[in-house]
Amino acid sequence: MTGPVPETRTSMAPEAPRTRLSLPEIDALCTKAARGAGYAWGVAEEAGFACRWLAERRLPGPDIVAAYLDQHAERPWQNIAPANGRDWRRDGDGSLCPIAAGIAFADRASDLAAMGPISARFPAVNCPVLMLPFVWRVAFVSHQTLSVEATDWKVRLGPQSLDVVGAPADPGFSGDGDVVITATPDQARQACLAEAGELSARALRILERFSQQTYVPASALSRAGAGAGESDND
Amino acid sequence: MNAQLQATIGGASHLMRPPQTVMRLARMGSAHPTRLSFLRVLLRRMVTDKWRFDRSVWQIDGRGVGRAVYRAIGPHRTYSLVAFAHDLPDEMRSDRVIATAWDATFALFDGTPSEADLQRLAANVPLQEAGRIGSSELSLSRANRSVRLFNHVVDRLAEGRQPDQAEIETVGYLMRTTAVYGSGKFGAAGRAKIRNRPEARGPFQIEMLSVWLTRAFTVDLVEHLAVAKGGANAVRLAPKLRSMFGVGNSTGLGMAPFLIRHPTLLNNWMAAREAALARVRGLATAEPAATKRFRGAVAEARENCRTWLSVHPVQERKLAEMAADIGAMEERLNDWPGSISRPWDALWLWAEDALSVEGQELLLALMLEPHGALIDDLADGMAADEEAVFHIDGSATLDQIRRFLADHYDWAMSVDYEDEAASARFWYVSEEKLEPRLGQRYEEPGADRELPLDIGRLAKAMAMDAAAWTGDDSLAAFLSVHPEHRLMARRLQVAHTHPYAEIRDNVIASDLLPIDLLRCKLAFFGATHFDPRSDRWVRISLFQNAPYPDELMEALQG
Repeated sequence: MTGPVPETRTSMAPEAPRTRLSLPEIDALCTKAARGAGYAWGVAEEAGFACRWLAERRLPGPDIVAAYLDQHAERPWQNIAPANGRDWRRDGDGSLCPIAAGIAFADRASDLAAMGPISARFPAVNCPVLMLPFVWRVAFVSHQTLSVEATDWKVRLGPQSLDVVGAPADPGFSGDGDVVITATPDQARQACLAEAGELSARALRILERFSQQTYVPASALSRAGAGAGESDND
Repeated sequence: MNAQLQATIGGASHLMRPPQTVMRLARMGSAHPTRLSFLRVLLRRMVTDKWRFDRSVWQIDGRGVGRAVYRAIGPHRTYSLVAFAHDLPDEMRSDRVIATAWDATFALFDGTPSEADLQRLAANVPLQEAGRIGSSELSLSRANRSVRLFNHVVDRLAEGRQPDQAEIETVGYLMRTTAVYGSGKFGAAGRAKIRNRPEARGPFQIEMLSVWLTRAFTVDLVEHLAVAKGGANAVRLAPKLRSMFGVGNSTGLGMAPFLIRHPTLLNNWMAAREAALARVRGLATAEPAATKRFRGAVAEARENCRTWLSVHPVQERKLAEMAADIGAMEERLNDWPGSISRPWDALWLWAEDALSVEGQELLLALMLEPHGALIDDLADGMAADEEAVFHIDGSATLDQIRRFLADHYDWAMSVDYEDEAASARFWYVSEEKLEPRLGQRYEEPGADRELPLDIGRLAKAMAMDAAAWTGDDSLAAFLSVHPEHRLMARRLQVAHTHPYAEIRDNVIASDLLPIDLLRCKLAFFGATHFDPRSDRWVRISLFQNAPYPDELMEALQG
């Protein structure tokens, strides 16, 4: 994968206002950014879905995917995706991409559901919060409430519900580490869905920078082709 | 065919035209509006639910600058078109998406806007893409005057005379919208907010409502300006002439990818229309009331054909074919239905041999016209829950995947995409205006940033990679090695249960006519007088001869 140079965090910078985006805008922006960062289109759509899902549940999806892409955009797929659906490890060293790991898990939802109570451990996942939307798909397909445990947070989610237990403030929410998923008899509370989401100025800048990589600069030929080139004063 | 579709058609399912026939660009590009078109669905609902309408704000000065609010008040909710009228110099008037100023700009507000809402919208709506709206807004749009007709109408009314009917027929509208942005664009509310509302869950109902209220605004504006100019001499538009005005729409490539990007929606539109045709063909007899209404519709089609003007060679040919086909229909109807059984089916089978594709698709629309009681319920199935089909079931085996590809994408497998003519074009988003465009792959840079709309080529690429796997391997395993086929895998899953999901033609071929995609979508909107200005942008008219809000209320009260 090729991409722009990662942005260094300026920890002393004053807090800039957050930008409000509609959920479809978040989906579209994150899809384009993931594509611009080198993911295949079908995977980029999953990143868009994930950010929208998180934003709808008032979790900072766009901020986290921006942070993830900023740090990890250039790693080839086989280095970031689980190689199998048994121990969810990838071949070789390094950490898992949360979108690739999430997809691998969700794609096997019906098989997992058929095997009874779900239990899985994903070793060394970057920004594991981004796995939640995919775990939710497994919860939905399997009709199970699932507990998702990462290094510094724990979430319970069911087909319609979500509890965040001891959610640390951003950016701790993006801490890397193992992710353990288990079926739980506990019920989670009904998720309270938002109509729109927001993201930091920094995240917006990063996502727009990657999105830019999906656009084609204008040429005289392309401009000429877009319209009829006649007066509209008729 | 899926179970849901089977259930909708009932006993007439064997009369459904197959996707191999329906989903070809040449036929889609000959589509006509029907009574299942979205603007017709909207008008029917407003009558059934006894909607009321008012113009709660009219603050427009003598130059035509100011603001207005039109309210549509339904049984449960109110929607308001907030209109801003501007004084636009001629040199700034452009229908292209690159324009930055317009004659009028609009937002559809969810509810009744307060003064604070109006002020917030006044600061943003006139800027269109450069402004921001919020979750109270459901659409954002703008319109330009048809300068010649607009001025003609104002001048005539100011002099106390009616405008010239021939002039109105030539253009058909006072203003044309150049973009109507719906769910979630530029900060507007997403579809999730409205999808459970009966009046808004059908496709494009919000956008159609916005355009219909815009039509009322355009005629109010010319009458207002006529008074400002002519004072006591000014007259109002005669009702017969007033009804001839629609709202124009100028549309380019930006709309073209929609049908490819929304396969579930496309399927549901097509399946509803095809089920409607099958139901009519399945009727044992042609009832006198229906044949009378049908003959009336044929006569209206002749009149519509007479006033449908275009100078584009492709459309000119189609109009000539249509005129000839209407003649053939009229002749055929001389001794129809007679005493034959299943007369509608007989008529249809005759048309498949006797008429051009253009004429056949027109006949389809005409045959549906008298059969509202039989088919109007099909409109309820035209929305789509795209989220529900987003999840990929990776438990499918590669055997199944290869069979799905062979069954649903056979049309793509025989194409040699290495051939330059078969892959001459590529779809992309322009950096300049963030709009979809179509490039020449072998002449222009940018194909490395191609949009995934080349579905036939993607299907074939997936089939070639899938061939190397053993049959009991899972799709999940395949996709973990081939993430580049993930988009196609999702479509494949949709296509397997939605027979009309895919356009069965090569949309990157050198001979692609993008206007075919536009016409199909616009026909589902209910657009008439499709008038291509090139192979990639068109003007059309919406709501011509439809009732106005005041007329609809009067009819309901009367």
